Amino acid sequence: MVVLVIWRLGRKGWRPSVRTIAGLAAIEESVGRAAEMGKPVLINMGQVGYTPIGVAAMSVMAYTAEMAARKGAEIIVPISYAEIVPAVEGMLKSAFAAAGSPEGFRREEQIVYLSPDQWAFCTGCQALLESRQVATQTFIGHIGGSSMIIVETGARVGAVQIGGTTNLLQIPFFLAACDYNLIGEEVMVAGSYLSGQPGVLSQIAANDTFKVLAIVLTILGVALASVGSLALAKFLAS
Amino acid sequence: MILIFVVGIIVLFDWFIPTPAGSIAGKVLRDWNVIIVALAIGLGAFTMYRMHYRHLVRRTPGQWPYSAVTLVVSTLYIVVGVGLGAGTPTYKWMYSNVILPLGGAVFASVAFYIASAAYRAMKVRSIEAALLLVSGLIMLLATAPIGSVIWSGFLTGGNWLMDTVVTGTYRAFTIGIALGFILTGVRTLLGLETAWLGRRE
Repeated sequence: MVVLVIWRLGRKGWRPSVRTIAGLAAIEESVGRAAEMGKPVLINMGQVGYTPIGVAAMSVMAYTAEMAARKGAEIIVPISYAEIVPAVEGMLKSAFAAAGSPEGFRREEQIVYLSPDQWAFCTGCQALLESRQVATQTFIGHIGGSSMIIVETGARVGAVQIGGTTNLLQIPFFLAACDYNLIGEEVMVAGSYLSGQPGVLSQIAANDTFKVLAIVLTILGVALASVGSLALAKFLAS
Repeated sequence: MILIFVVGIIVLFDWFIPTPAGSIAGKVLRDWNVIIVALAIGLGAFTMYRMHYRHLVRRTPGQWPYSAVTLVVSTLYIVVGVGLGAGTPTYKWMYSNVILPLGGAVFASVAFYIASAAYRAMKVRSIEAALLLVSGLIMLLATAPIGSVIWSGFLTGGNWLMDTVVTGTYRAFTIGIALGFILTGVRTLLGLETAWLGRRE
C-alpha cells in the first residue's frame, strides 16, 4: 500500500529530494572517458539471474549502455547465467534505439556468455579486461569470492571502476579497488535513481520510509529490552 | 505484467499460506522454472559455440587458440556427460581432476590480489584512510599467530572490532539491503519496475 501511494504521488509530479550518489553520477563521465580513449566499457553485472539484485543490475546496465551509445563508446557485457541473455539483449536493443543508433547494437560482440562457474566467469572477465584494455568497468551486481580478482585486474589495466554489490563480504574488496562505490541499498535504488523519472524516483522514498520504520522499531525494541520487556520482540517474531 | 503478478502471487501464497492447491500450483511453477533455465542454458551453450566457432574460422588474432580449446573441451564434456552419464566415474574424474583443481588454483591467487589491492588502498591520505590502515593492521595482527606473540592486546582489539564495529555495521547493511530486496520484489510484482523489460517506465 505504501509503495502504491508513493508511486501515485510520484506520478503526479512529486519528486523527493535525493542526495547525489557519487558512483552513479560518475557513470557518464567514465563512459565519456572511454569514448575519448577509444577503449570499451565493460558493463559487469557479476553473477545475477532474475533476482532483485539482478533487476537492479540490469537497470544500471541499460543506463550505462545508452550512455555509451550516445557517446560512441564500445560496450562489452559478460554474462554468467544464460537465462538473462534474452532480457539483456532486449535491454541493449532498447538502449541503442533510445540513443538514436539502433545499428550500434551488435549482439555477437557486445554480449559475451562466459560461464555459471564462479572461477571460470572470473577468468573470463580478466581476459576481457586485459585483452580489450578496458577503460571503464561498471561492476554493479552480485559476485562471490572472485570479486577481488576482477576489480584488481581492472585497476591494473588502468580502468575507472564503479563498483557495488549487496554481497556484504565482498564490499571491502570493492572499496579497496574501485574508484567509486555503491554500498548496500544504494545498489537496490540505483535503477530508480538513474531513471530520473518522478514516478520511479519516488520509490527511493518508499525504501527510506521502511528504513525509518525499521530504525524506530529497533530503538523501541532496545528501550523495552533494557527495562526487561521482550513484548515487542516476541510480537515481531510471532 | 499480469503474468508476472499472477505467478508471483501464487508462489508467495504457497510460501506464506500453504494450501494443498497452492502447493501443487507452486510446485508446477517451480518445475517450469527449472525447465526454462535448462533451455536457457542450452541457448547459452549454442551462443557460446557460435561465437567461438566464428573466432576459430576467422583466426581472430590472440583469440582463436583459446576458442579451439573451449570448443574441444566443451564438446568432450557434453559427449561424455550425455553419452556415458554425469554420474559415471569417467565424468566425475574429468570434473574432479580438471574443473576443481583449476577453480582451486584461481581461488588460491585471490590472496595475492588482496595483497596488491591492500598495498594500493591502505595509504594515509585522509583521516578515513588512516582509520582503515590502523584497523586493518590490528585485524592482521589479531588473526596472525605472531600478533599474539608480540602483544596479547591485538587479539582483544581485533575481537572488539569484529564484535562491535563490524557486526553492527553489517547488520545495518543487511537490514537496508533486505528492505531494498523486498521493495524491488514488490515493485516488480506490481509492474512498477519495468527497466529489466527494456522499458523506461
